[in-house]
Amino acid sequence: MRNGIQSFQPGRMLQAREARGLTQAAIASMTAKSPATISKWEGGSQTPEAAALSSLSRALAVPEEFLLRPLPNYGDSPYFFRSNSNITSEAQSIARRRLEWLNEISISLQDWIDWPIVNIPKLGEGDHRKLTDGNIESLAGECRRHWAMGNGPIEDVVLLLENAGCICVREALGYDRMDGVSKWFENDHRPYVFLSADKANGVRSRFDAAHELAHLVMHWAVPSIDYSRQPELERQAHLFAGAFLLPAETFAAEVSFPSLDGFLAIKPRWKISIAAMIMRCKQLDIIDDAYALRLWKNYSARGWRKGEPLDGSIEFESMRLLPRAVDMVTGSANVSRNSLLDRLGLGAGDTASLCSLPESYFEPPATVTNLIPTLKLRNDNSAKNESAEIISFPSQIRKPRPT
Amino acid sequence: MKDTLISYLTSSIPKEFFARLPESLEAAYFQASADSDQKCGDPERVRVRGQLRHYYQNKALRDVAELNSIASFSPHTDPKGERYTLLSTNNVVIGRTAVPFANKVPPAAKHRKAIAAVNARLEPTNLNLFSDQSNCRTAEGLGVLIVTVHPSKAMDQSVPSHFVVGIPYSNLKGWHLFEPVAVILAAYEPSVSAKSIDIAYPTLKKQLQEAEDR
Repeated sequence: MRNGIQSFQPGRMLQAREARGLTQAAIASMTAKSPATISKWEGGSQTPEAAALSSLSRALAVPEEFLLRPLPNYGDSPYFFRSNSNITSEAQSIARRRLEWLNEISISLQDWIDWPIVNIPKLGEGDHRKLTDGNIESLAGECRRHWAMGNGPIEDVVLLLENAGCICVREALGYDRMDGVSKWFENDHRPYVFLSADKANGVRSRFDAAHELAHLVMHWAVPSIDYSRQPELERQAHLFAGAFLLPAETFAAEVSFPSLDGFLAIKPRWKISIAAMIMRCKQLDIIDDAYALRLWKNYSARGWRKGEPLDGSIEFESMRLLPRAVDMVTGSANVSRNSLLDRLGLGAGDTASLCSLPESYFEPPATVTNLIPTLKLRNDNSAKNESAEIISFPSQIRKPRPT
Repeated sequence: MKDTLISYLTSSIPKEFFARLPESLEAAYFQASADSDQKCGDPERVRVRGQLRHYYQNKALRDVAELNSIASFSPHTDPKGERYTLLSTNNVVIGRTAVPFANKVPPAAKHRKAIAAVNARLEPTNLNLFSDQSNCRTAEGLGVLIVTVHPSKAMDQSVPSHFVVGIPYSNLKGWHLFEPVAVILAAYEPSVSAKSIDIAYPTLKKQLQEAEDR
């Protein structure tokens, strides 16, 4: 039975709780309510009172209005998670919920701006069961041809996605095995990509972006994902990413004598990890199993499993589209930052982070206070405004010498 | 100095030589380990492995040179009893050596000192009134040692730690250049990749633009 705020949205509560990676028990503890009550709120059989809504919004770090706004329909297309197989569902939920918030921000911003026209090709039949490894190699080449890119190294993969109208964000999740998630949202028929920043490695992040591109290009008709399908989908996306970033024709010509030193020499130009290059050489049959094994042994012997040379010198690719949109709305469209924040519906920190803006972007600017200096008050008598009495020193009187 | 030396190397030696080198030396190194493991027991195995590494890598170095039309020789040591590998191309003479994991000083040998002596021209002259050393200094050329850095004792002994291209001081007590083969290979590569075009710009809605224009 409902006895609280009628417009409370249980779906929003679940969304925010999952986005924060919190359990119902944790929320119960933070709001001083019983877990049963929290469960009822989330299940929709009961709604919180005004005071409880306020403490719930504080616990979830979202505005109260957020919990009263109906959950939009994001569509039934699947979320493609790029993650280690033993990653917790909690990490996947966080990434998924952040991607949904990104979609809502994007939809709201479209009141003022138009995003670039979507130009991500949907190639093949979109069904992973009909794809062979040879097909994937061809699709990667077709994708390059679609964008008239040639076969050289790609300078900026994220820019490529954003140029094609894909909305991207990179955030730290706190789970280093979670790499990213992507989805074709049906409410604006636009692809969205979430990349994890937890690895602190620009090279890996480029590959993650290419991997998500693979799902968008090849798996657009996959109706849903279950555990039996996921490994094959991931393998295919991995294959596509390698073929897209390192085209057979040009890459094979550059590594006619593959060695770790040779890979390291071309890493700054291709901006691909040496591990990915070894895998690609194996895919292209440039090296056989025995030589691949020796390369991997050598790779480990050099201590590169923990981090390859030059990883630190290749920076994360920056997001451009969302920060440009926010600047455009707050500049040309004369919308104040506060009004925009209200319209976007999330807290200042979340909005800034999802829009790839500085953390303090939506915080009010510091106000200049009265800077007139004041005298210190002193308790002793010396501070009193009294005139001082000058005491003259007694003149020195010489005694007459005895005669 | 470092950039000049690398540039001298890249202009004198074909890229394919350095590209093939690590793979060939690694294969030789791996084979030496496999053969010594197969044919010898302890304690001889360790000594045999060291010798096989040396001979197999010398052979591999000559093979790579021949594939790249670089002259290769196997002269006798003085006094006779051993042979070493020497390559020569465009005034660059190349030999090889190996150093332990945490030690950069190459073992002194007459043939290596002869290679290192070519580099005296890179060093400042200390005039000595009592002996004329001017004849020792060549006008051009470079003495290069391909250095195999052995793995540490705790590591897998079938794979070397890495390969370095070294240009030693004329007294073999240090290096003018001591860089991994990857750095030399990178110097052959064009430094920039193709620029991506940036068209990732949203546009203001039409009615907003019209309102702004009014």
